[in-house]
Amino acid sequence: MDKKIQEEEAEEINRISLECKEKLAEIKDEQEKILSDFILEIEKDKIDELRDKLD
Amino acid sequence: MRIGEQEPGRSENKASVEKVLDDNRDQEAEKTLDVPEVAKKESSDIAAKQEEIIEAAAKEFENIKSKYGPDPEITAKYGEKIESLATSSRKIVTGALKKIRKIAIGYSMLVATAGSAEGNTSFENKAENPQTGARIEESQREIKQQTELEKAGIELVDRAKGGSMEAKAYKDGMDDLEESVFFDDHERYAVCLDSEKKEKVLMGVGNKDFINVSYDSMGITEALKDKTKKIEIVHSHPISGHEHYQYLEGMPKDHRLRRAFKEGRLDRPLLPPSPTDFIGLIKNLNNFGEDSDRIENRVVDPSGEWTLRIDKDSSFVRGYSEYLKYASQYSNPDFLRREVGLSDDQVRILKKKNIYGVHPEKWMKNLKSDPETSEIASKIEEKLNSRYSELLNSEDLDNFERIFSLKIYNYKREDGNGDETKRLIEEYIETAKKIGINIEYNPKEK
Repeated sequence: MDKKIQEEEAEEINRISLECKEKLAEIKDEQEKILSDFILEIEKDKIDELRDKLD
Repeated sequence: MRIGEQEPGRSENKASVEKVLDDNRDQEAEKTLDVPEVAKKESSDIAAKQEEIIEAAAKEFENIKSKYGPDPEITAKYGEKIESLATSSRKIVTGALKKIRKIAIGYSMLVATAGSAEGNTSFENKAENPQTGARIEESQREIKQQTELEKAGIELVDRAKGGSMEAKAYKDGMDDLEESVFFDDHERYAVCLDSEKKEKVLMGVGNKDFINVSYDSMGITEALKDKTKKIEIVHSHPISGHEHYQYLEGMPKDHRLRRAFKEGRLDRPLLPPSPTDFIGLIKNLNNFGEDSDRIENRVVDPSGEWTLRIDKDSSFVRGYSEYLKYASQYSNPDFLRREVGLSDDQVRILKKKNIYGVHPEKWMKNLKSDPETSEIASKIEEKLNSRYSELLNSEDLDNFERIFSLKIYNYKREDGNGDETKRLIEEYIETAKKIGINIEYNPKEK
């Protein structure tokens, strides 16, 4: 068996895996942002109230 | 405010991606070259990562709900967003796992086919290593399942491609054809209407296992009228059509394994002309008589090029020619009613089924497997068989059937251009010669 082929196949799997992990990391960031938006929207009234007070 | 809020998100995003890259760099030193091991490890890594992300988001979502007791409408809105991201992540992971699995299966098949350095993973020796044997069998099953699933789509593509035709400069066309055996899963063909000048060729695409060249629309019928002209019809036998290399089917055209075969880093298999190709020559004889001598037929396979000529005076060619004339009438409703004794309804069913759009060797099998046509199939088969035995002598039939069973058609070529390859080629050529099919083989240089 050509060693180069073995290396290429292993590298290709690693490349696919890395690409997938990068996308998952982006999804994780997106999820965190949604969750923080969720809190912001729940607390919107309180935030507006505080902002009014500050104004 | 909203715009300002995006910034931390972006930098966090970048930080996560950087972390992934760092993690990967850390793992670089530990990387193994054992492809199935790498596939197993990476698959379980990404599946675990996805689970972790989804679980963390779901947990945090529940925490927020219980802590703040939000409005149900707002909860539903954000719940949907989180769910939608979870769906996206599932798709991403499923796609990656499929790709990884395909590489792992392909690699296992490759090892099994080419033989490992230790020589204990070939198909013949799998009994000596039950674990490897089981893995190969599992891989074969998976490939079969995958192929079945993809079949419908591929066949649609086949049909869509079937009508396409383009003209190319002779050399470019022939080079393309030669390349296509490694990079394409379809049989392709090139027709040169003036093989003295060799100026241009008309290129066409067939199906996975056969081509159907339209002699009229390709201009062959017309060109043959000019008695000074010689015609070349060359078609390809793609590597993925070989029993042991089916795992290449569906792999991207520029895939490393395909290139390895093309570059000769892996032994190129033999895919010589099939008995169906022989019959094609006899059909030419029936259609064009003496003029068919001016058609040169060649087959390009991964290992080289095969040129076919028929001996019109051989008993097999004469007998088969008569048989084909007889069998061609099965598309004639009057013949089917008169000779086979089919009813009007049965003739209508055959017409509706469009049985002729498949490989010629398969049409009877298809008819038999369909409950609506199985009875018709038996009647036709009985009639055809009886005529077949009348027209062809038993020695010719034995030789013709022997060609179907020759090991050359599923030979793995483990020994490159070694003695076994040479012996199989000789056996094939000699057997074909006995039935009036003269074959010349020109192997590709390494």
